Amino acid sequence: MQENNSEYLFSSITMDLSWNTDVGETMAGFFQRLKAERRLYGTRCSNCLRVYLPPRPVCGNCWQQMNDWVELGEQGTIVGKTVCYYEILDSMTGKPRTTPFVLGLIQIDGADTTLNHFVETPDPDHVSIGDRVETVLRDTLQGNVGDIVHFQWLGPPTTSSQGSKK
Amino acid sequence: MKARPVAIVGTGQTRHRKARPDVHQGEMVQEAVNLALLDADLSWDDIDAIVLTNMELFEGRALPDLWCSEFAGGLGKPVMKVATGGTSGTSGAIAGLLQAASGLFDTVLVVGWEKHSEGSTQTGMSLTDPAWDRHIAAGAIGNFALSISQYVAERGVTGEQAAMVAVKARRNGALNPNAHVKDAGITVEKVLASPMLAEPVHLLDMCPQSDGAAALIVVGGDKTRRYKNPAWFRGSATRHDQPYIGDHDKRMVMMRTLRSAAQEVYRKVGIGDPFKEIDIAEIYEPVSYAELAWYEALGFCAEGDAGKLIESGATQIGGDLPVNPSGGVLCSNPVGATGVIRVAEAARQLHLKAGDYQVDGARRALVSGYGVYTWSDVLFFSAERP
Repeated sequence: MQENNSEYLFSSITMDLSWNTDVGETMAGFFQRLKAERRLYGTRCSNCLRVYLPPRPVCGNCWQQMNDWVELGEQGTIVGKTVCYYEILDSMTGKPRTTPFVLGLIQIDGADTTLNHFVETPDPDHVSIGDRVETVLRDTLQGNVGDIVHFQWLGPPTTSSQGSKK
Repeated sequence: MKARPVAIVGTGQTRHRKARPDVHQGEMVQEAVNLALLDADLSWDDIDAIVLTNMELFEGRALPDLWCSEFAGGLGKPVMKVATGGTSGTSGAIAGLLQAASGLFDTVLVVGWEKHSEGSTQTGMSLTDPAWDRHIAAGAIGNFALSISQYVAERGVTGEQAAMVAVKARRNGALNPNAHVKDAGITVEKVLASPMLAEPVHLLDMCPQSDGAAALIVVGGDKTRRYKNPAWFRGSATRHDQPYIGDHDKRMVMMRTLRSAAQEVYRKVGIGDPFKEIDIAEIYEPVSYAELAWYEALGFCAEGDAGKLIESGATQIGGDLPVNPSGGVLCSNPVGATGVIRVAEAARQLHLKAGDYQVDGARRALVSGYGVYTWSDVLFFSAERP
């Protein structure tokens, strides 16, 4: 069959499939704590003391089982950021996300690793590395990562908003 | 058991293009294999074993080895598949080189391919953690840009310096008939005027998605004797890392897997000053800024000096250490083949068959592979028999 006025033939396939992935004990522990307390928790390696968010069952650097849960702050610091101008589908709504949007690498107070997530701000051009953000959770928590809606930009650090380093 | 000396004695590549609607995956594989056999003056009967490399989900077709083994000439022969993301091709080359070095096989064919035009890189989503990452996935470009923002903040590299990498790549690509993206007249201004994708990454800072295949012929033992300029395999190292982009303090500022793999290879082959002792490098740069960061991780310059290195012109053809004279990943990126292409281009330089982009006096060549933001392969080849 000729398609697209092309001299070459191709066969077009669309699939609608679904998978159910078990999140595992550690991630389940994170979501349960989030739902019960509206708090983010990380896991801490008893060997190198690194605090992981997202929490991990094993510290890869030390090949060490992690069983210590650490309560983390509600705010964090932007350690990397970009303003995106290309269109992507919002996986929560299935609709294109309005551009420009801001992505950040966010280090939550008390964690050693960073999250990549959306930063909400009235002015994308004024977001800088080192600025502070606040975690915004949805009103009714469901116990999945969609509970973290985005991180609200607060602006450059002030003495009072500066997170405590371990 | 001690490994025996092995060399790459033949390479073959398709013309890498945005789309190859005239052939299917298997036919594209066969094209590269036939060219490699021709280059090494060998026939199907001479091949003892085959390594395939491909990122199967991009084409929506599982078990690419099932579909493509016969096109690679694999029936009745041991065939294995290697898939490690962007590093697939370099990992597959290492597997083939070590198979021959072990003495298990005398002649090994390595072939990698990707046909991006057939599928959707949306299937790359399946790389991410289903419980954590998929809700917030914003694509490869956004993740690159986040890492780049840190690199720029810490090292002070400029958009102009990154654009100089893109200019070097596309001008080199214009000399390479196989390159997909080529532009002999490109300028820094043109790169900076191209659409902004994710600050500070412009469209022309990024690699393309290509259709293409590449093949290598590795031989060991007595089989090496008939070749005039074999590309001798001197050593390799592979490193994997934690899966989340946020796990690493430095990310692109200092990619610890690349630095560690390079240091292991330099130790193995006795390189003290990589900039002086390497004649040509083919490295996996998915975005212009990454090439600058890899200069530092590979020890081509001191930390923070990559901007000065690109400005010096030393990494151009004719410079002290030409990097990606073929045009690199910024010109051709059929992912499953991209690492094989790096090895093939390094080998072609030592075979003295690189045509218009041949580097004078190329005797020692370095290759790097980059996969899934964190993984690294490093390989070293020389014109001198080990």
